Amino acid sequence: MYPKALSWSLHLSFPISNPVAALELSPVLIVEDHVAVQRRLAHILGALGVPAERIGYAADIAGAKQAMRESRFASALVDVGLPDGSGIDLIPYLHERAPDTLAVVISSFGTQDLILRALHSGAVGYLLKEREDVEIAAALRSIQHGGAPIDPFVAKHILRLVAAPAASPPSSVAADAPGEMAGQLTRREEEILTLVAQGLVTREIAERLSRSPLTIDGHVKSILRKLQVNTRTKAINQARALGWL
Amino acid sequence: MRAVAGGAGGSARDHAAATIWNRFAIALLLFAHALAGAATPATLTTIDSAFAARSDWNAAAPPADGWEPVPVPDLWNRRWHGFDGVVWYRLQWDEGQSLQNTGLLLEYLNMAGIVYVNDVLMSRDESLVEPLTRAWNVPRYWELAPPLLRAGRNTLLIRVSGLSEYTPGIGKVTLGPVATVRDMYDALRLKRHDALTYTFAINATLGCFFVILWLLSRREVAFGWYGLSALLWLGYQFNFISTSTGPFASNRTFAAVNGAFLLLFAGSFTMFVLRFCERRWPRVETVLWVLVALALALLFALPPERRDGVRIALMIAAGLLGLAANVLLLVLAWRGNEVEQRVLSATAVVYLIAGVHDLLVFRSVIIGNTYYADITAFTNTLCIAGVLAWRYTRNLNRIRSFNLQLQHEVDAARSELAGNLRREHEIEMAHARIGDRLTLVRDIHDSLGSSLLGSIAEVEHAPEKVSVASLLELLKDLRDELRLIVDSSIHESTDGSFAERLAPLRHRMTRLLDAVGIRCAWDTAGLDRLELPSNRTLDVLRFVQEALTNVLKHSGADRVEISLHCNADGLRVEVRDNGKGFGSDPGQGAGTRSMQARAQRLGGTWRSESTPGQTAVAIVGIPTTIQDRPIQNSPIQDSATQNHPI
Repeated sequence: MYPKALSWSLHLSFPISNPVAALELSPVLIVEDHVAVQRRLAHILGALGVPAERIGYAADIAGAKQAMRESRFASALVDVGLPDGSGIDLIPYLHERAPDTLAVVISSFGTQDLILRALHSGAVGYLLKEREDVEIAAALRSIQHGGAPIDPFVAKHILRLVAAPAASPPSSVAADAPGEMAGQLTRREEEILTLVAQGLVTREIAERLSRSPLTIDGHVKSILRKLQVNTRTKAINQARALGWL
Repeated sequence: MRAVAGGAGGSARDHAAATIWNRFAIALLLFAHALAGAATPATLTTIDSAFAARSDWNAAAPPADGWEPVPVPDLWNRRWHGFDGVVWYRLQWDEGQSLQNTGLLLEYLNMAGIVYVNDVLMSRDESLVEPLTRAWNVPRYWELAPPLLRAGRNTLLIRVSGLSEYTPGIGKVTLGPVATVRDMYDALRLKRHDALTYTFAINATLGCFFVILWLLSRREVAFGWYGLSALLWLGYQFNFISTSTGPFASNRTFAAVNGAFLLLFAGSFTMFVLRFCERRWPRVETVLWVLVALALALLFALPPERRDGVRIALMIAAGLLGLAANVLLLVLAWRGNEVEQRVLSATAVVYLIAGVHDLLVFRSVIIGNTYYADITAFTNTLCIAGVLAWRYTRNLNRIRSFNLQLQHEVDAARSELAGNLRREHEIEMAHARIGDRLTLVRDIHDSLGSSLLGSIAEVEHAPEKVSVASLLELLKDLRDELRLIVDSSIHESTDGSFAERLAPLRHRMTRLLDAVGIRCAWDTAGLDRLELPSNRTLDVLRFVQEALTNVLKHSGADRVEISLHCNADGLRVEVRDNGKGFGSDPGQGAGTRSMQARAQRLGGTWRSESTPGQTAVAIVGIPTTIQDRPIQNSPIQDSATQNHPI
């Protein structure tokens, strides 16, 4: 996918903030089958202060599971398209063994529905491979500082879940049932989602609502948590209905 | 039965002439009675002496002379023709020394009267002068106890007030053991009163039922005529039940009205037969009703005293009309093919035989035997009601099966329609998919393809000039282009407003620029209402992306303002930064040229200004009222692009 001959450079034109309140990313497990991408991510992590020896690698699901069994990781960057399956399926496995691990999904072009599924199943964030290194670094940094990544398509997806059933046409992005999250979001949360859906970034939303970006991030995290809880509750209910529980 | 034929005289004649339907219960009784009668023991007391004498209306005691021997039962018209007034009957018999309770049965007296036994008053009717109590059809019974009887000669004195027109006289008198006579009385009572009351109620019910049925379903004219004739028959049958003249001042008026009912009944019944056999004979029907009207007019125009002969003739005519209607039924039914009509006509055959028989009986013989009409009346009523009910339920079944069929057809039509809609939808979906794919292909061809071809040409022809940095830039351009195409094809790209389609680019570019320390400020207006065709939207987005990429790569700015305004003049897009301006960087010239080309394609005007610290590029007046939506409307036309090398 990426030419291996190409060297990736990380132009960080902004200072890395003092990582006092930051979450610990390392040790990190990178689950990615492309060596170039592995190298690229290691490079970005290095720029964020993660030493190279604290980074583990796995090229497929089996390898990742083995690595998880052998050692504990503070975070895992998981590609969704692995040779032996979807990285999303790794997330529940990961959380079963180490609930506090930050699971971040790596995705490429046209995989929005995979990202949504990943968020549903407990990923705290996602990285888009085609983005500039600076953007990926910024996203990781945001996750490190407790931020929550959100894109217009995610916002739209959740808004559809909140909206009244008849109000929205069937989505081609993800199999979301309209109205299944109705009434679960606060008015402020819905307001923020609407702005995100219009393409505004956290900084702009913070400016528009006269709040700090941190507050906005808090709201977004709350929204994503509800999405996950909703998914989990639905799964449990379904399992009950099927007699598995 | 003998009493009905002979004793009741005129009334009985009417009865027979009218061809009775509804005294079926009596008929059954008559049979039972006839069978029982054969076994009647011969222990009845014989009345050996019967005399009668006339007196005036108000006589309180029998006359001293003028007594003549009479038969019992007796019709005084045979002896004293045309006599209206009071006739005294004196009947005598012998009792032995050992007196026992004895039953006395008087079949009837016509019309009103007083009965004494050994000068003791036994009964007295209410009105003994006009309007007379109509007691002609009332059997009477007494149980005579020894104190009332005498050893030796006993006398039964009957004072009868009668009118010569209505066959005045007395019926059969029976004396004998209580049990035997009592049984005879019960049978008579049933025949002459109870059974009539029952059939009256049945006819009333049927009449009301069918009339209401007709009122609710006017097309069922036969039902209407049947109901009407049943109700008219009630008016005639009233003669047999009522013991007073009712609302009428005299028996003559009563009889005339009664006859009118019979005439109307015969007319209605004829109409019923016609309609039942689905016939319309306008001329015959007109003649029929004109005749009925004339008869009625004649009946009521005559003075009461002279009316009677006409009345009897008309009632016989009505009876004959009834017979004719039955013949008609027979003929029509066997010409047609309707099962129900044939069933009914079979009963008409039975009826006709009986009716003719009855007419002969009452015209020629005074003391008749059996009235078969009663029996056929029973079967007739039953059959007519049954046939009509059958017709009714058959209609119901027809409606039901029709409904089923209709339901079936509706279901079939519905599923066919659903199938068609589904197919249409599938075709539409297929078209839409083809359209989407073509759009995608065209987008890729237009941008990704051309820049790829350009890059290949550049690298191929001057490989020494290609640096790693420029190659990287080239690849990143391709990536950004791909991103745009992916974003717009994954989102509900063909439907969303421009604002929605802008969102992913805006978000992405803001994050990127923020990440590298260039502050973005977006200023949008009027985009929610803006809808552009997909390819034009993509061009606008490419312009924005290109301009921002230039700012990112070359400007050195730390602030960029992007404004997109849509109003009546069209769409205006402007990107303004505070960088060092272009001109210094040779790479920027190519970018500017491509933006200029895009402006031309969009039909807007290109503007740019560049001074250090203030650089702006803009396209103004992009027309927004464009009707063509090539994605959906002309996929085939667009397929030409598929042939272009990419």
